[in-house]
Amino acid sequence: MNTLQYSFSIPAIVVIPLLAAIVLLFVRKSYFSWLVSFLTCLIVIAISVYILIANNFNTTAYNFGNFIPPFGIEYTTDALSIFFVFLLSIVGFLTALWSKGNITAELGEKNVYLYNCVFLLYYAGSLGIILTNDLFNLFVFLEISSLASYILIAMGKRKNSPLAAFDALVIGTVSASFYLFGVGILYMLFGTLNASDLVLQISKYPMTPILVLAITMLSVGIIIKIALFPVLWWLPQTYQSAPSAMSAFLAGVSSKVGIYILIKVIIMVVARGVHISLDNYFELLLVLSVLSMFTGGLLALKQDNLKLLLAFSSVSQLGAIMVGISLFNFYGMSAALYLIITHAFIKTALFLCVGNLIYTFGTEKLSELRGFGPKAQFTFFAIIFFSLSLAGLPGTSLFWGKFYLLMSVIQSDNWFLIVSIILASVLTFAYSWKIISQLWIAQDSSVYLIVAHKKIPIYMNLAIIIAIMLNIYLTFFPDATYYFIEQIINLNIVSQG
Amino acid sequence: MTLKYLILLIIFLPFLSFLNSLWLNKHPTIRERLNAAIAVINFILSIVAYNKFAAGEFVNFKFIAINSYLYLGFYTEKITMIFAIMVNFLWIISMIYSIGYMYSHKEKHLGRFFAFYCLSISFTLCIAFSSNLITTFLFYEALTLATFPLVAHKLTPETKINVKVYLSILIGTSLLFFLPAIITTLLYLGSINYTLGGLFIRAENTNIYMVFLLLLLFIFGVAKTGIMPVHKWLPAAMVAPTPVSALLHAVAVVKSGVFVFIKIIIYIFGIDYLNVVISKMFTINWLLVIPCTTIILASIVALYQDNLKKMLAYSTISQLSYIVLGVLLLSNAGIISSVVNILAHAFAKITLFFAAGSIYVLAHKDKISQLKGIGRKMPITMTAFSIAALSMIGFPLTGGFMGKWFLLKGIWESSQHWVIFVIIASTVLNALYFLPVIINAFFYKYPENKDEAEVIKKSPHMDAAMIITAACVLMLFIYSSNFISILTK
Amino acid sequence: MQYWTNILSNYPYILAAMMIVIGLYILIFEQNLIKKVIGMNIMQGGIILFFVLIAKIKGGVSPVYNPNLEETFSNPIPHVLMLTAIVVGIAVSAVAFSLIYIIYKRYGTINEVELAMINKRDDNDHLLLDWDTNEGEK
Repeated sequence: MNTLQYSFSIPAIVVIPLLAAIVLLFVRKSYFSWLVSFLTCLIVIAISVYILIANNFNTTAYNFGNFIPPFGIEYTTDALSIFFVFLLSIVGFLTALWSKGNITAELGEKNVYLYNCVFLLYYAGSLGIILTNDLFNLFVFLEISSLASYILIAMGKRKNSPLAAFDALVIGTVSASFYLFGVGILYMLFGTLNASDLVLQISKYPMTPILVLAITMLSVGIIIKIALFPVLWWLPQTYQSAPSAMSAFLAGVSSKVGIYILIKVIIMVVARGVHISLDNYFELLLVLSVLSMFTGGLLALKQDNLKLLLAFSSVSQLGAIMVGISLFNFYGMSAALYLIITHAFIKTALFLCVGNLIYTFGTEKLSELRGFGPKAQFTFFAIIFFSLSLAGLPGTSLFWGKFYLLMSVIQSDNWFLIVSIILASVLTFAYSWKIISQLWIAQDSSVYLIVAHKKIPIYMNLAIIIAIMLNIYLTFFPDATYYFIEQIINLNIVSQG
Repeated sequence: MTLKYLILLIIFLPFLSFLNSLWLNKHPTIRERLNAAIAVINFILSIVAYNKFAAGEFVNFKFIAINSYLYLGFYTEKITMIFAIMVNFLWIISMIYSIGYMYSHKEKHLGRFFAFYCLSISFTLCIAFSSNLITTFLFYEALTLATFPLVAHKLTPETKINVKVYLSILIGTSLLFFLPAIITTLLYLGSINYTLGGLFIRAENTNIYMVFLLLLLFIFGVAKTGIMPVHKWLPAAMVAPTPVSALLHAVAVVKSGVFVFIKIIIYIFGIDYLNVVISKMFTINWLLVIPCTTIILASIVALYQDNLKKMLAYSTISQLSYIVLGVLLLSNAGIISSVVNILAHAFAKITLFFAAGSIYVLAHKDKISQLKGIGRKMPITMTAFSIAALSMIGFPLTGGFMGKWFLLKGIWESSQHWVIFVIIASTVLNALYFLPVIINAFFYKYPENKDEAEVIKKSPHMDAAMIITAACVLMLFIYSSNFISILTK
Repeated sequence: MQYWTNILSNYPYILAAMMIVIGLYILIFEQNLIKKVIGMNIMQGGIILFFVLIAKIKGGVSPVYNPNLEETFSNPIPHVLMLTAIVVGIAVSAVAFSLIYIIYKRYGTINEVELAMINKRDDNDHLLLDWDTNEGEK
C-alpha cells in the first residue's frame, strides 16, 4: 500500500463539506451559503484529482488517530472510490450551480441557507460512505446522508412532500437497520469491522448458516437502499416530492451510492472471502434486477408526470446496471460502471431540465407541456437531447454501456436474459419516445396555451450546458473512462479475489 | 491533399450545409446557393477521391477507439467509391428539384428541412465509408433519426401514425436483430472489421446452424433493405415531402440498407464460406425464397395501390429484393448484378418520384386514377416518368434492362433455375402496374375543367432535374459495361 | 435436551430477535404514524440489544486495564458502537416526529389510510404550496 504525501487529503474530502455545513448554520446569508456549497463541490473535485494523480489508481489509507488498521477507523481511497467521488462531486457541482438560479424562487430567500446546509450534510454523508473502510462507520454515514435527504425531501413545495419524506424515512431506517444487523452478525463471527481485515478473517473460516444469515441481512438492507424490484415504490415519490435541485441530485447519486455499498460490502468483502461460490446469490440478484427493469419501464410508460416518468425510468436503468453487476464478469462490471456514470449525468441533467420547466411554466405534466417548444427553446432542445441519450441511442454516451451490457449478456449464453435485455431496451426507447412525442410531435400550440412565467436565469442553463458537454465528451471519448473502469476492475474487483 | 482528408471532407461538407441551413434560416437565398455550391464541390471531390483510389491509394483509419477491437473507422473500397459518387451526384440534382418543389408547394420550416436533408446525406456517406460493423450500425441508426424530422415534416395526424410505424420498425429491428447479431459476431470471432474474403473463414469449429441463424438475424435486422415482413416503414415514410421520398427513400436510405447488406455478406461472412454452409444444409438455396417472396408479393400489392407514391414505394420494395437476391446468389456475377441494379434503380426511381412530386405539386393530383391525359399537359414530366417506368420493367435501351440481364446471368451461373420464373413473373407484374399509367397519361384526353383555379403551373427547376435523371437512365444502358469492368478488375 | 438447554441459555438473543420482529410488524401493519415510529424504535432496540449481547464474554469483567490482574475482559467496542447507534436512532426519531407534526398540520390526520385517501383525492401535481406560509394556523 502506498502512502500519500498529504494523506490528510483523504478525510478532507468528507470533513470539508461537514465543516462547511456547520458554518452555514451560523452564517445565514443566502448568497454566502450558495457560494460555500458551490466552492465545496469544486474543492472536492480538486482533491480527488490530486489523489488520482498522486496515487495513480493505487490504494491509500488514512488512519484516524493513528490507530493501527483493524482497530481504528480507516479511510481508504482506491480506483473505485475515486470513481464514485468524481461522480458525486460532478453531479453535486452541477446541481449546486443550477440551484443558484432556482432555490430562492422555489423555497424562499430565508430558506436558502438551510437548503445549502442540509445539501452539504447529504453530500458529506455520501462521500463518507464511499471513503470509509469501516463497516460500522459506513452505517453512520448512511444515516447522516439519509437524514439529510429526508429533510430535503420534506422541503419540497408539494403538499405531500413531508409524507413522502416520512415514507422514505421509514424505508431508509429499515434498510439501515437490516444492514446494521448484518454487520453485527459479521462482527460477532469475526470480531472485526475493518473491510480489508474482514476479507482475511472470512477466508479463514468455513461457511456457516449464520454467515448466510449475515449476507442475507446485508443484502436486504442494500437492496432496499438501491430500490430493486420488490421495494421500489418509495423511490419515485421521493424524487417527485423533493425540490427540483434535490431531485436532480438524488436521481444522480442516491441509488448509485447504494450500488457502491453493494460492490464494497458484498463483492469486495464477502464474495472475496467466502470459500463457496455465490453463483446462486448472484442469480437471485439477476432475477430481481430483470424484474425491476421491466416494472420500472412499464410504469414509466404509464406516467403523465414527467418527474415520475423519469423516476421510474431510473428504477429501470438501475435494474440494467444491477444486471451487469450480478453477471459478475468483466464485460458486465464495466458495463455497469459505465452505465452508472452516464446514467447519473443524463438523469441529473433531465431532472434539471424538468426543474427549468417547473420554474418557467409551473407544471411538469406532459399533457400540459405540449407545444412549449418555442417558448423555452434551450430547455426544449436539452430535453430532446437527453431523452435520446437516455434511450441509449447509438451515438450517445449511454450506448457504449448498453453495448457492453449486451456483450456480457450474450457471452453468458442465457437466452432468457438476452431476450429480456433487448426487450427492456425497446421499453427504454418507448418511454423516451413518449417524452419526445408528447413534447414535440404532439405540439399544437393553438390548443395548449401555455404561459411562460419567468425567464430562466443564466446559472440554470449554464449547468445544463455543462451537462451536455460532459455527455458529448463521454460519447466521443469513452476511451479514457473505459481505461479508468478497466483499472478499477483489474485492481479492485478481480485481481485480489 | 491525401485521400484520408479528402474522405473526411466529403463526409464533413454535407454536415457543414446542415449547420448552414440551421444558422442561415433567415436568409433563404444565401442558404440555398451555399448548399448548392457545397453539393457541387462535394461531387467534384468524390470524383477526385475516386481517381486517387483508382490510382492505387488506399486508406483505413480509425477514430474514437474504446479498445483494440471496438472503434469507429473509415476505409475505401470499390463499391463505396461508386456509391459515394452516385449519392453526391443525385444530391445535386435533388437539391435543384427540392428548391422548385418546396417553393411551389409553399412548405414551412424550410431551414429545418434542408438541414436534415443534408445531414442524412452525411450519414449515408458515413455508412458507405465505414470500416467495421459498429461504425455501420451507429450511422445506420443516426440515419434513421436524421430522416425522422423529414418524415414528420407536415405534422398532420396521419403523419404521426406513419412516423410511429417508421421509427418503431427501423429502430425495433435494428435493436432486436442487428445489434445482437453484431455482438454475437464480435464475441464469436473477436473482430467485426470488414475483411476481404470474410471473417468466418478464419474461425474454427463454427456451428453452421449458428451461422445460418446469424445470417437470418442480419437479413431481417437491416430492415432498410425493405425485405418482407419488415417492409412497412417504407410505405409509411411516403408521407414525407416528395424530395425526401425521392432522394432518401428511393436512393440514400434504402441503398445504404442494401449496401450494408452487401458488405456484411461479402466482408463478414464471405461468399465462399456461405456457399459451403448453404450446401451443407440444403440441396437448393432456400435463402433465395425470402427475396423472391418479397419480389412477388410487393408487386402484387403495388398492383392494387391507387396512391401514386404508395405504388412507387411497393415497387421500390420489390426492386430492392432484386438486389438482395443478387447478393444471396452468392456468386461474383450476382454481386455485379446487384451493383448494376443499385445504380439502375437509383436513377429510375428518383425520376419516378420526381415526376410524382411535380404532378402532386403542379397539378395537385396524387392518385393514379386521376392521371388521365396528364401527359398532354405535362409532357416533360410524363416522358421522364415513362422512361423510368420502362427501366423498372426492364425494357431494352434502359439501365433496368442491364440490371435484369446480369441478374439472370447470375442466376443461370449459380444454376438456381426456378428463380428465373420469379423474375419473369415479376417483370409481367411490373408491366401490369406501370404500363396502364403511361397509357392513361398519353392516350386519353385531359378532362377539361371549368375551374379557373386548377391551372397547371410550371417549374423549371423540377423539369431540369427530371431531364437529367431520365437521361442518366438511358446512359446507364450504354455505360454499364464500364462499371462492370471497374468491378471485375 | 442438550439442544433445548443451548437455546434456553441463549434466551437474550431470542429476545433481541423477537424485538426486531415485533418492531417490524408494528412498522408495517400499524396505521398510525406515531406508532410506526415507536415500532421503528423497538426494532432499533432489538438490534442494539443484539450488539450489547455479543460483547458479553463469560466470566469477563469490565474492560479497565489493570497490570496486576490476568482477567478476561468483556468486549468494549460494541458498547461504544451502540452509543453512536443510539444517537443516530434519536436523531431519526426526532426528524420523524417533526415530519409527523407537519403532516398533522397539513392534513389534520396522522392515519396512514386516511392520508392515502386524501392524497388520492387531491391531485398532488398541482398543489405547489408556498413554503413560507404553509405552516400557519389551519
